[in-house]
Amino acid sequence: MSIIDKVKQLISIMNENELSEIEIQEDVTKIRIKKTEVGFTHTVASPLTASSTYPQPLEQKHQMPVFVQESKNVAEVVSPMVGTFYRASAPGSEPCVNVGDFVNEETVVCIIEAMKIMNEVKAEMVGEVVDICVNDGEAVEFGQPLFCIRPSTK
Amino acid sequence: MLQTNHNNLVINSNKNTGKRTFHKEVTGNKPEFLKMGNGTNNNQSQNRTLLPEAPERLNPEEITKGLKTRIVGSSIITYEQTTSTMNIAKRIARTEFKNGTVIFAEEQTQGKGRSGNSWFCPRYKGLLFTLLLRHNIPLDHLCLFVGTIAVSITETIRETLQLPAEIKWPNDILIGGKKVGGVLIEWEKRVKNQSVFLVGIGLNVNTSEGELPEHTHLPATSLAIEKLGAVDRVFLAKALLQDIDKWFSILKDEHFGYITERWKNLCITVGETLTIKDCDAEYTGRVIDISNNGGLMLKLDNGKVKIFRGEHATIKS
Repeated sequence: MSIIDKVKQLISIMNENELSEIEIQEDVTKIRIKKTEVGFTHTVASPLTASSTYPQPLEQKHQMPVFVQESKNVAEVVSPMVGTFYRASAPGSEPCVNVGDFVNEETVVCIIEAMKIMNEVKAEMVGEVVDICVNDGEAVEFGQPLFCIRPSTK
Repeated sequence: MLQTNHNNLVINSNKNTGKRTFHKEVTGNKPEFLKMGNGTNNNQSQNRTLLPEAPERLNPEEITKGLKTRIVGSSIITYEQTTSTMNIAKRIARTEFKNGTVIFAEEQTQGKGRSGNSWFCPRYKGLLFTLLLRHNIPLDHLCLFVGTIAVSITETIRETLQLPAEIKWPNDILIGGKKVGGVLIEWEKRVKNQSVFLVGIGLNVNTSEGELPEHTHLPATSLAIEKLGAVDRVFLAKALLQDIDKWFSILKDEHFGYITERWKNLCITVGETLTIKDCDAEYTGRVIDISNNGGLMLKLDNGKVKIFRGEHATIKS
């Protein structure tokens, strides 16, 4: 497949999925396409003949999932890095915390591992664990909520 | 780089006689908790003249003498026995420690490995230590930290002992397919956004065939077994600290490509056909490269190339 064909295919993938940016890499070839304004590729595909055919701007979509809190009284402990989430400090051990446990700033709530780099995540707040958002051994992203804590006043 | 005198490397093995606990910090302020330990400071060279049969012990003064480093080994502490040097390092990390502090243990009762593996090495036979480094590495290059250390260990073994050490991605050090050492890192995110990395290294140095752990995931070996003679641990420790110092400054200067290039050259995993677990899916293919942030590039059976981020991918054994 020629580069031009690949670019065409990528543009159609972008349109189908309403993406604003795409990047691929194969061996030594790297292609990156970015739309500077919404509907840019539509404009190219359908030249302006009449105002009625002008494509409507695409509906604004959030690129990142937004985590909405049910209650304002709940705070999140988020992942400091990309990695794998472990609830226990060592395999076979008890989980660091369970729902209902009370934690303080220094309480280690889980381990995130990325390529043999372990990170003990601390609660960094005082409160009660009300939810554990990720399953043991699951992959997590930077900034992903791991725990919901209901803060208690000191 | 290293001034290697190969005649110095092979020494006579001594019997393990002395039982005195010993720890000492060479420079800097002594952390508070050390005073509470059951060890006593003593002068190792003096000890040697009194006990000619004493085993070759790691002595902070000997390791520091003539050590050509900028950061690594700025302060050296040795312990006769501890649970894990990682545990000590964690406590030190909370103090105003000197960047580059190294904690050696002659024996660990709870040496760490991930996935339930424990690292066992008989007393006086290995190099078991944790190095504390302050460094705010860009998050997307975090995985290169492991590579930097793995490269240092492998390079040191190759250059000082002329043994064909290789890396099994990401963190195992092998000779002839047998495991001789490894690295594990803990990242302590400190207040004021200052990160501290606890670099844990374990190397089988003078372990004999009969002392090697059995039923390990990979068959084990030691440098002495491969070299057919005992190895001077102090000399090796010096060489290793100097090499880590060199590679750490390359990492600090963000010459990431230089690290991945060396990692790739020393890594047996490149060229192998293997199965990778990425989240819940499995992919089989041939490893064609290490990506610029430490991940693996796999040519899948269907001809497509897929890059696996190091953070999520694990090699299926």
